[in-house]
Amino acid sequence: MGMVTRAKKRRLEEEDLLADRISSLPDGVLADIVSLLPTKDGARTQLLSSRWRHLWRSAPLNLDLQSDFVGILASDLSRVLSAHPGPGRRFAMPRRYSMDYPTTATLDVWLRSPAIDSLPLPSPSVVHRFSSTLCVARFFGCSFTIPGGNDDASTLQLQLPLLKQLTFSQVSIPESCLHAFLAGCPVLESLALLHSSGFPRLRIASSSIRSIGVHPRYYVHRGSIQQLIIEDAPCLERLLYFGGIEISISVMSAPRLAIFGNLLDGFPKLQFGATVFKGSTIVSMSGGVVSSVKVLALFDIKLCVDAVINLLQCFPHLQKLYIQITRDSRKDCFTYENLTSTLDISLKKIVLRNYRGNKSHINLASFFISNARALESMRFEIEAANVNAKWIGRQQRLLQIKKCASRGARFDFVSNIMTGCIDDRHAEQVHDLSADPFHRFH
Amino acid sequence: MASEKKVVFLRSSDGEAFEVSEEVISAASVTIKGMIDEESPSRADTAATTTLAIPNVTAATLSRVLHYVNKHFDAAAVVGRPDDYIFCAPGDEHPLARFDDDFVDVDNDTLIDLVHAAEYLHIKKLFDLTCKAVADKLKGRTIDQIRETFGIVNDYTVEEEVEVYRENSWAF
Repeated sequence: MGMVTRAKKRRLEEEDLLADRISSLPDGVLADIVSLLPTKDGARTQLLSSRWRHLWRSAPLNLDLQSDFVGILASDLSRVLSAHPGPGRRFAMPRRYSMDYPTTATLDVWLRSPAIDSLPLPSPSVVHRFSSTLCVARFFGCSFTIPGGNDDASTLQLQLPLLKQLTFSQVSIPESCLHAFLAGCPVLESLALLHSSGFPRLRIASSSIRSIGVHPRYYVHRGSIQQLIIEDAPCLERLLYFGGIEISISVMSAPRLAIFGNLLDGFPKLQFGATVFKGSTIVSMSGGVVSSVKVLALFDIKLCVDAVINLLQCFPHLQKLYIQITRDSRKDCFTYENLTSTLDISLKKIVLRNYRGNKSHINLASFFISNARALESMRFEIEAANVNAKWIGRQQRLLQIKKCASRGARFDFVSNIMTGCIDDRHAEQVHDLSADPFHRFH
Repeated sequence: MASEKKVVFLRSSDGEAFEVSEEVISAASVTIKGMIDEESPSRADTAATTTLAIPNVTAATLSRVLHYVNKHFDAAAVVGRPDDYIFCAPGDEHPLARFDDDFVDVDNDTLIDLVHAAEYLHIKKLFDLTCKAVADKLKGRTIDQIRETFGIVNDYTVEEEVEVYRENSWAF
């Protein structure tokens, strides 16, 4: 008997300990939590108890088919959309929908469902149903047209009061339409324009924008972007150019621009006020130095020491420098002679990509090692096959790391492997404002 | 004119008082800022320090909340100003990311108490952090695992349970 009583007592105590605290949270809080869950996990919470049954329906629908719905059928999706009254927080369709690809009619039904009703769609008839709750919008492979077929989109009353992240990928959108779109996003923080066209000349004037990334179409396309003008962007922190074709970028006012890249060999044509660059080469410094930039990335370039010194003088507050060395060995021409005058280099971190450890690469690295007095870390990213302890040891000797101008500096040799879809990565570089866009994890 | 920093005392539901800089707590908590603003006309004349009653939050939770608030909102103590994250060592995220991870690495009850407190005190950053931590505990779990972890009692009848399951069979 005694045993049973103790066991029973213990059970009671356990039950007491496991009092259902989570269900005591207010509805609104639980709904917030449910809407943070992946789509299926969110819907499943309805089965927990009657307390949870209505929560999923009252929370904004988080419908992300790209990561979540591996193998879901179009018919199931129809059920999700008919079950949820909205509003929608996210509706992401995978580019390749392998299981019974929905017909246009099915898609149309989805897009008319209450949860999706208010999401912005690239069709003029739904312009006025733009969501008042949408925070993130990504458009893939579609064309925007202006109602009536004329060129003036200024009459479009687009309002996306909460939209913070906007991505256009392989989208065709007329210039006036894009400008009207941006004008309707008063709190937009990050904008990614990847392989999109229709706007040869894009002007940005936004008091909220913090990050812009552009990847022009590779093949010169009608209406491909030629000119990006940052007229007034008081909060702009990062400006990312992902190569492709040559464009010209003018920065008229972006006092907080801290992260900039990539400068290539000869392009883009870049203007900070009256200071003009052609890629990594400085054409004119009559506009003075660019003191806000702290992180700079150079891509696929050949550099001689003069060019490095010029760049460092032009960006006097640079703290991080990424240099992706060209794989084309004909462009190797790093020469280095000991500087006689002292050069004040504030760089704290340097990353050399595609480092192969040949004479000219060592010359370039040595320049920083013997001159960067504030250096904290230097990272050599190497084609994977080369990395072994013996090779690294030899490099450390050749680079004379022990004679480094900065005592505490760290030197890392890592292999250089990139995985994943490049467009997804570019979008992430633009939108993830908490991470250094040029840093790669291994 | 280096005036001394003003402090306020917060009294928890179980009667313990905690000292915190007025500037810091006002930046963090909309609720307490409101209380301080209401108090201020009467405070102007007296040098007495204000004590605010926080009836919904226990001492254990309040001390955790203040630890978070001092880390995140004290400009002097904050290691990373908003634009400082880009200068961290390789592999590091936001300087407070690790602090945040550790902060919500607590048992379920403590976490739920923090959600309650963050909501009541209206500290948005803490609310977002703790809600996300709760969501992480629900993510990828089966219904039975969630019920067990959080002590949720299944009060559905068999028929009701089957009905809810049918409605959402796509999610299982």
